[in-house]
Amino acid sequence: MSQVLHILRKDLLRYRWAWITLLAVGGVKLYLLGTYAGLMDDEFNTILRFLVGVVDTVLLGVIAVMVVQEESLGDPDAYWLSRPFSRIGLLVAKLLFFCLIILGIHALAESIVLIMNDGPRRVIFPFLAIIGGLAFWVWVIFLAAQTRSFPRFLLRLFIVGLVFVLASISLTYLADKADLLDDDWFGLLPHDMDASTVGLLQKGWWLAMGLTVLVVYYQTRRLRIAWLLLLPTLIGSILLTPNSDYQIHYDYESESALRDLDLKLVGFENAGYTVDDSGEWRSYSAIFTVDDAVNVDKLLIRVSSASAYKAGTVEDGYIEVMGGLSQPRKTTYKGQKAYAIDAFYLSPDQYAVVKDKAVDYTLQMNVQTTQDTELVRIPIRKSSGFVHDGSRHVITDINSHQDELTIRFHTYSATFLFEDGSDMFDVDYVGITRLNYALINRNTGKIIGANSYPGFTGFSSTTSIGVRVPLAREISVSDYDLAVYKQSTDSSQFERLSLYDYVIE
Amino acid sequence: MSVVTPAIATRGLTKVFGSVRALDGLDLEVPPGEVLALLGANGSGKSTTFRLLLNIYHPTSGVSALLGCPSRKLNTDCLQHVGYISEGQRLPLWMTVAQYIDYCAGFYPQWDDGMVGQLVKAFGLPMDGKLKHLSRGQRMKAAVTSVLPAHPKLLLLDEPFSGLDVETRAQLSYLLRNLAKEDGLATVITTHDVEEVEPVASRILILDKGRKRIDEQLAAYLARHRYVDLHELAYEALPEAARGKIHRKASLTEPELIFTDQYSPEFESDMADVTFRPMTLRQILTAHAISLL
Repeated sequence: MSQVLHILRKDLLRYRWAWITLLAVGGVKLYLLGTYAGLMDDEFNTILRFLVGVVDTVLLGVIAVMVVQEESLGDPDAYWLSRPFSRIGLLVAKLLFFCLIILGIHALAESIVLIMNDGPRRVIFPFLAIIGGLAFWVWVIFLAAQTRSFPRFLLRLFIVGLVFVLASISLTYLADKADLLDDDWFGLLPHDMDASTVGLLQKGWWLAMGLTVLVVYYQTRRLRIAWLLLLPTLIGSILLTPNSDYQIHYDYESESALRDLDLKLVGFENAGYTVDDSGEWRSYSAIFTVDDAVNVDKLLIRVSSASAYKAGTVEDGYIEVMGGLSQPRKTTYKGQKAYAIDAFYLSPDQYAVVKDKAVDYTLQMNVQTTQDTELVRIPIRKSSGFVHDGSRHVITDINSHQDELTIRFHTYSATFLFEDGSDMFDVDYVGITRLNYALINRNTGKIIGANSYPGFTGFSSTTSIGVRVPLAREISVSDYDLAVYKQSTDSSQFERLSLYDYVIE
Repeated sequence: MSVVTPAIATRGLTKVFGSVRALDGLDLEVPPGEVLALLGANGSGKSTTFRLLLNIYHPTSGVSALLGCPSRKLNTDCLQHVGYISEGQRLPLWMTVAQYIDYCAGFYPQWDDGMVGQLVKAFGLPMDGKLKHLSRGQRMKAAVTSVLPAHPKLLLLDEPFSGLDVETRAQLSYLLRNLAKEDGLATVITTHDVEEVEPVASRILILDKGRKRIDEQLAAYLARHRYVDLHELAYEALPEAARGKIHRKASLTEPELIFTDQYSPEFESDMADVTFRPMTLRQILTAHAISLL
């Protein structure tokens, strides 16, 4: 243990500029993500965000490689090879440096931001994410340990990446030829295992095998044997997948109407055009009606796949779907109250086939029913904001027109590996919480509903979201508060809706 | 009766790089207290031998052991008693001399701070100077200062005299001789500076293209070599039996170098009219056309 600390102390001294820089960057993150001033969209903050982004992506990688190459195993002239260094002690010292400095400072900053943003219950997750991060970094350590300099590391990384891509393409091609990819995949995990558990097992496997490879390589310096261990790693990784390719199981019972909701697909309307080299692409919204008893404001719908089948022919093709999970828009259909949802695109060729013809359309849809809980009310003015469960939101811009009020937020949302909900790759989730908004008159209590269109987020990040309020008449914004609701999912179901012999416009 | 563990033992040690046999079946045993001069031209296998002994390279075949520990299983306990200094060794150049010595000291439980002080004083090392700012010779001094205070039982020195000034060479030679004599330190030195190694070494081993060409106690090796100047001797006048034991060699400094590698007092008494003179190691190697470059 004393050797581990001895080596770690030396690395901390050698790379003090790096951890001091990382600490400074962590401090800047506290300002950028944990204060309203930092979240504002001004020039100073934009520059700071850029610098922090550069440090996070470039400096971390450079330091990681340099720290390992300080005692490179691939250099026969390295002074330390003939010294009484414990090789395992050396490896532990490097891993400690990674956990404490490279990942630890990052996790510490994220945790403090969570506390500053009223999310103390989540502080453990940035630290747990270190384990997931190590599953990646152990392989970076392996590559770095066998090279003597950063350019050599980059070259080897490029070669390894190239070999991987070529091998993946070849294996996929061969597996496809052997009909291995069609129905039953040979993964060992149950087909209904949730994605986060699969991710956890995969990361655990890659971490365990990465550590094994490192121990073997550090102990023996036999590079070929260490590389050979990659083979069982890959095989294990393939086997640690669900035994069916389809993790989502559709309910094919309903056809034109969704049970309970009595949701009926009644037509499509042209929602616009996009032009590219191949010509004019048409986008379409799906029009549906729903039982009057259903509160459509509580529905979120996403079209996950769509197909157009021309009866009497063999032409049956999937068509590209658009958008993500969103609230239905009010519209009318043949004079009746109806709702629209973004559905699909038709390419110029597809349109030529289906134009003026009776075609069967089928949409696979994910329908969620939700409930709202009011979180906070804030005055509608620039730099006004709120924090919720680790996230921070601040109003950066307010645009009032005659018939619409747009409130633009800049928001920081925290999402961490191993945290419930972090596997939701749906672009409509702001972090792990979806928010809704409404304007409430401070004097009369009158509520004006707002459509939100949240921005895109994956990992912890900042993003802009807009809250659009359609207005019947111009209002005095100062009379209103913005109410923020947390929208949670009550139920979620996948359904298929078909519309037969429909002639699209 | 106790059995003395050799500081180095190899059997059939071989290393092949592609089509090149860098070391070819080396059998070697170095007892404690011996100073072995490992000589040979560049590429003869000297550095490869060191790297195989230290488990930096893995042998193609054969085995080796340091202080009784098999090279392939060298652990920290064994390496605490082995010192290795190489001219081409990559040191942590960002460190100051003091930092480097302190860092190395942390790996040796029997570190001798007193010896550090003596060496630093004798070598005139700038403790606050960074290694990257030191000359080659000063780096070598720093490397020596980072090894000897650990009181190793075996010292492997690859070109230790390179870049050192005359005074420091003499100091280092004296130090090595004393450590061998008083502490029983076994030392293997590779060098091109045979003048420096001659007074220190007790044994000479010459490698040629990975194979052992000469392996002999240095005193005996020097003793059986003698030379005569041509003007003192008419080669053709020698008895035929003696001629077979005498070699003629073209020389840059003499019209012709005539020497024998089978000298003995009896041999000299057979040729009473001829005076044989001792040869230095450099002269002997030159006479045998053994290049160290």
